[in-house]
Amino acid sequence: MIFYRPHANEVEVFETAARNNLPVLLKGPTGCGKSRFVRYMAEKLGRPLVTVACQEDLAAADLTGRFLLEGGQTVWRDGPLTRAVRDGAICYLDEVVEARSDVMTVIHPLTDDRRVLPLDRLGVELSAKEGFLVVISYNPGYQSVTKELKESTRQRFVSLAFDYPNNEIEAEIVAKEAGCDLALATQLVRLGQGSRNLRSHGLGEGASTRLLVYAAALVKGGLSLKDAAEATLVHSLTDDAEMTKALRELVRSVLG
Amino acid sequence: MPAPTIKIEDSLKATMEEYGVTAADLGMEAESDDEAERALLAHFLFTEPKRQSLTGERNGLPLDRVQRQLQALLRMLSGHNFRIAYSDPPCTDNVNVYLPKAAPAPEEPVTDLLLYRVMGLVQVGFVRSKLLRERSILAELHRDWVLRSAFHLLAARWILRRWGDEFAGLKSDIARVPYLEKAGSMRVNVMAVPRDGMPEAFLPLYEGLVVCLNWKTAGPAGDPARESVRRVDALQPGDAAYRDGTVAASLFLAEAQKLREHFRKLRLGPPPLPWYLGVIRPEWILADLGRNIAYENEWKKGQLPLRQLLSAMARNGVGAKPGEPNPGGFGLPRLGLRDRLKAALTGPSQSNAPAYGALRDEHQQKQAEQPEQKWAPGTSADQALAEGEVLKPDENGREYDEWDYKAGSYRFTAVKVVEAEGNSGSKESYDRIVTANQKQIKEIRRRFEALRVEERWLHGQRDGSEIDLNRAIAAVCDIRAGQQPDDRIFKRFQRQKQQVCILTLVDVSGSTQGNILAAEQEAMVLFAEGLRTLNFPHAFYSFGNTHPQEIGIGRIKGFDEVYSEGVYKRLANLRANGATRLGAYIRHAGHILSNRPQARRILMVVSDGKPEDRGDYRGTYGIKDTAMAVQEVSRAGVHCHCISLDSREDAGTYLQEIFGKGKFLQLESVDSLPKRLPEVFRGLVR
Repeated sequence: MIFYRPHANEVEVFETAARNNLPVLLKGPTGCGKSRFVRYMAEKLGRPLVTVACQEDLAAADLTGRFLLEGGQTVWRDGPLTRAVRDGAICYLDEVVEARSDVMTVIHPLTDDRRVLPLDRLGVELSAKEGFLVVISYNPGYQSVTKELKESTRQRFVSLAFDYPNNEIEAEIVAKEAGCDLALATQLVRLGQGSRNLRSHGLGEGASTRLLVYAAALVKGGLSLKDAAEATLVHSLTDDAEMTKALRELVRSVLG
Repeated sequence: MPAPTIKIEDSLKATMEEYGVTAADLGMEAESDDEAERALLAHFLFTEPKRQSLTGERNGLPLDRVQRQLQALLRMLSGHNFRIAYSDPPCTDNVNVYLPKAAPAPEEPVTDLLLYRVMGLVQVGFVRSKLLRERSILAELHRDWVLRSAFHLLAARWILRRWGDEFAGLKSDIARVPYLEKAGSMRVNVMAVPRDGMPEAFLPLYEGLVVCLNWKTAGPAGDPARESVRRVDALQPGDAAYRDGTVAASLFLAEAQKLREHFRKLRLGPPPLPWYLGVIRPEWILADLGRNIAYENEWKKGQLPLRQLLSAMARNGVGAKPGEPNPGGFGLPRLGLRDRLKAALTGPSQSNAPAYGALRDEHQQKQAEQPEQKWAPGTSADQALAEGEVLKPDENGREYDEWDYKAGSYRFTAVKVVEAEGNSGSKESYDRIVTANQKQIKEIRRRFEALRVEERWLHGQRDGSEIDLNRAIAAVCDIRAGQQPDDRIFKRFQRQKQQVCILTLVDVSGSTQGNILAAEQEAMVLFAEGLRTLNFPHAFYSFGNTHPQEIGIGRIKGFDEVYSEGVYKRLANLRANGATRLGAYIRHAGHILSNRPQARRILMVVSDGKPEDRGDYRGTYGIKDTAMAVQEVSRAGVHCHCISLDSREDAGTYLQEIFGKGKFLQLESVDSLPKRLPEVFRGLVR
């Protein structure tokens, strides 16, 4: 089973929401484990998972499906959302605020007690199979007025707020994910924590848990800790010359 | 101890006079009958050669060059949000960190940076560990110089040891610093002390604490100084005094008291401090506490403006900060804080501070003498009145309600906002800013260029440069399936305009006078230069009123106004004026924005402090009303974001209450405003 280390009661909340067919919204900073959590929960609940990485050109038709030509015949091909509705899967729309607004319109009837998906092209209204669940995620830290979730949409979901785990848990995650020893993971986590202290004070975001795992993997792959930190925790976080120097100083202070 | 042989020379007496120091100032009243003792102390205080190297005559690396980097590093290490300002020697007021403007000569950037780092670590350590929070301990330290120096040495050792334990890389830095020649300069309070001839009694303490930061303790066994150092070193991470600053402070105070007695027996003054360890200034921290008390008292009593009261306190040297005159003269003024506060607040006074009652009477008399002031945008009402100009507010002003949190209801039509043209001046100011910032403007434009249009393929068009293959297939499929096909089978590349408009509301209240106003002015010009290339509808307004019920908002550039000579002049000629009735301004800006056709409306507020105005528009009232105003405009579809120039750590609390989490940015330095304003805007619309 995929590794996931719970931070608080998120597993319990998700399970209860899933049992009651309530859609779930995950919000939190980049790389804090939202997508991993959904994968974990899908496995735990024994439900198939359909993941869609949303982007600005993603339209409702891309989710529902379309007719295609196959050997001179027109064939309907389900989109990922339709597939999830039919299979009783968890449909995870990652970074949903990036998608076009019509995507939200499509998922609305799936998020209330109707649990239906109207397919205009087929002239049918699909009822969601037992087990179907809509999960969406977004990062409120973007602060962009063009990337905000509407209040009416937000209120359709059970919300789980994610943040980076505390040092011990994060070190455990990094060690487990990268297969490195706990001492190395602890050092990397301290670097990560340090960089997060600079959020909104020079850095847009601090180092994500994912970046820490990358750094640990590089070290495990034979790179020196300093080089791994430079490649992941310094240059991936900023282009600003002074902040780069400060991050290097942080690396040196922590690693010695 | 060898008998002191040094006598006070005339030149030393002159130096003492120059600095306004008497034997009593040195805290030696009890043993002042011994001439030799004072002579010895004077020798340590006023030796000339070292003083020169510490006055910055041959400076090394200037702090400005590394300030941002240093601040970022210390923030990352400590998790503490503070600001770096100037002071020599280094110190802290428990919120911010003060470091020397430049490291002393010779020029060695790497060494200097190392020195700054360790200086910063000591001061941040004080703040982070909350060592200087207890008022009783602060009062003790304030009273006794010897006690303070001994406490400082023990505390600094503890702080540096904790940093070293926590960060392996810092341990080597900390160990290197004492061996640097420039860091080795010692001082008692602000003066340099030569190490040669230092009394033996100081050596164990000094060497144990400072020179041997490889954690060896020097000095003979059983020596009180050595024992104190040993007790500090014996603290283990599991001990309360290792983890908890309050417990540690009590321990250090107890040890310092023992040392003080020891030094007194030996007829010694305070132990010398190495320059890089800085000084503890309990009077600053106590003065801040005093300000809070004074504010609360003033608030309870109602009428007297706090500024006058604080001025009275400042005149008496209570809480003098770097750059401010401190009549205490020497770095260790005997302030008698409690008495001075009492005098400033209640009078009658033995000091020069006007008594509270006198201040109030004076103020009320002035108020009565002054004619009623009318608001004039961008012009000081006083000046306008002096010029004999009759300033009539615009009759078309708009009235707004105010939220009274105590009553839990609105005060209807509590304030009228009158819009008028902003202050103007010469266009040269604008040209000067543009000329001086060509490079930055170019960079802003380059970055904004990416926002100007969305360059992308628009799919599903009835007409376009290319066939949209997916949709064409879908159409064929529909035809074959016997359905009505969608004829939108083309795609075209479009540079689509963003549907965004922005109103920038800039605070030009009286408190911005000086470098804040200059930075705001520069930021406005740079931002305007960037926005011009974007063709986003945008407007600039300034606020700062002089009349509580009828307040003015200065139009620098309206939404429908094109860039003209007048706009340039107004952009670069802001004038500080009045106070900050922010709720009303936000409501008015929201009203302007609500008339815009764009789907996304942004209100960017640039302010330097809490919303405060005359009358009861202060403290919680101002904050709650402004928060309510932000909610109102948000409901009307306006996204409100604030850039605050209030860098105090506690400012985040009221900013979050007003604007909400993630909807404000506290700038660490006023100077960074011109750079950050366009960046914040870019982040909002990207």
